[in-house]
Amino acid sequence: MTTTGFFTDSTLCIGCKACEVACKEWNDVPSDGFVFSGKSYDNTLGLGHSTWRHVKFVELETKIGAGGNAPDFMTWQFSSDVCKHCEHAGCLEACPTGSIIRTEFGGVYIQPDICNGCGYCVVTCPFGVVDRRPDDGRAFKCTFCYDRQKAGEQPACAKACPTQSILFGDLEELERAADARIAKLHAAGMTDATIWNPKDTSVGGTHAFFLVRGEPSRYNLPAKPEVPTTYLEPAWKAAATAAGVLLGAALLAFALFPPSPRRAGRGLG
Amino acid sequence: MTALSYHDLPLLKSPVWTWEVPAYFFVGGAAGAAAVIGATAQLTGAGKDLVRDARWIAAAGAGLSAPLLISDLGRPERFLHMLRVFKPQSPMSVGAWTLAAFSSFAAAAAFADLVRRKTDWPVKLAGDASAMLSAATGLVMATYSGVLIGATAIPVWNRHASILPVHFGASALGSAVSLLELRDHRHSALNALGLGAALFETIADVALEGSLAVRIAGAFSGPIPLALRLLGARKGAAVSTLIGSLLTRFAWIEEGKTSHALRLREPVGEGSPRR
Repeated sequence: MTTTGFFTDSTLCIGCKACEVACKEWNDVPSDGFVFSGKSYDNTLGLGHSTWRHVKFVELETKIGAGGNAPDFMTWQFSSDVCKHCEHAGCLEACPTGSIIRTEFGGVYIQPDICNGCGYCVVTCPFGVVDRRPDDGRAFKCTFCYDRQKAGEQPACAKACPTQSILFGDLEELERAADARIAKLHAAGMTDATIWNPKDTSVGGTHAFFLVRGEPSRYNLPAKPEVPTTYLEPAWKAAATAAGVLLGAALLAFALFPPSPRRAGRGLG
Repeated sequence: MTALSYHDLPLLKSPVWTWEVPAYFFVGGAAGAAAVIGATAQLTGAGKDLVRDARWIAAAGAGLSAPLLISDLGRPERFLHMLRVFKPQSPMSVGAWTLAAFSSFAAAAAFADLVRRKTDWPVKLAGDASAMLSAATGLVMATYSGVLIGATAIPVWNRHASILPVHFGASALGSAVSLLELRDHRHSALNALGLGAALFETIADVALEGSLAVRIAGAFSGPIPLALRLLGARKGAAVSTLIGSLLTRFAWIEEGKTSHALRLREPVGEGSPRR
């Protein structure tokens, strides 16, 4: 089975949010409130238990030229965010029930009939994607439209995208397409376009990767994400040391100090 | 200069855990350390009363732990899914299995003690074996909660991944000693262990970079009981240690709920969250 991916090209995104709507409709994701955030035209603000695709509205300085506007208008960048479907996924490693699995398409999928809502995936996702839905109790995130992929269809968001900003397909083919695209953009003078895919970190790359302009951190795409399993070794070593000292200290204390004659234990029985 | 994040919104999600989790860290840790004290006291021939009370504290703590953890689940009725798989790479999976084993052994050890006192059935060997196994799993109970929060994406937790297990282990030992002392056990070994735990907690309270809440909580399990023990006020020290040990765990969980925003103030574009 081929490993599939999302290549989201922010230079083609027009901020229409058709992907957010298509995702909600196909996956029957509940409403997440009707709140005016005051942050550009973004009122959903981020990925969460009830927002699995999220269009970011990044406001950049005025820049004339490729992709820019007239000098009296700001430059807008839109980028549709989604679960990154990490190569080394913190949520999948941490899930104690085995609810979170790797599908045959390489995606990271939460089995809703297994999840017991322990909340550990929420704190082990380095991208703040997974969240527990309060009225349901289980954790939710993008399923990579596992059901549609099994039926040979593309995910709802990619299908709905009117500008092909969201491309879905074979991961390696998408990476080649991204390389070609970035070369084309650079040749056209858009030199601040970069591809965000943290392949040289412990995350080992993501199956959903992005082409953005400027600093990826402006899009809340961290430069050096770490999969939390990297902290396991120092933490368990510390725990083993602590356990050894605890045991040794207890043995030593009782060996060194004889029972006190003033002991007045009453017992519980 | 451009901002370092998207509309100053946090990248990470805040932990969804409620009060049950830090309460469990406290209860489970104290129970685990009590099992260790009970087993070592037995091995070294210390008083029978001490051994018996340690076993009962371990069993009581184990009995409280599971309900606390289950009530924090989003779907409590699915708690048995925790034992569907065993994943060594998941501290929560390791913890769930350890708690299951520890609870069984601690309950068996206490029950054997009860049976021995009420009947003349030959349960001593089974009880002692259970007590030793509860001590072995109790060592994990006392320390793994530090691994559980250390191996996460939350910066203030993972920065302390290699100290939190020791910190929690020391305060678990202090708590177990304190509970036994409040049951009127005056064995000098308990005071020595209490002194050692309080000394380590005093150093940790100074060395760890934490909020004011973490430091105040640490004072109750570090310098305050250390001073009280040196003055001979063992029961006062015991009460202070228990309060500090409970507060410390609440403070650390709360610290994680605020530190997800720290990710913004760090130079996101440059370094890793690890030091």
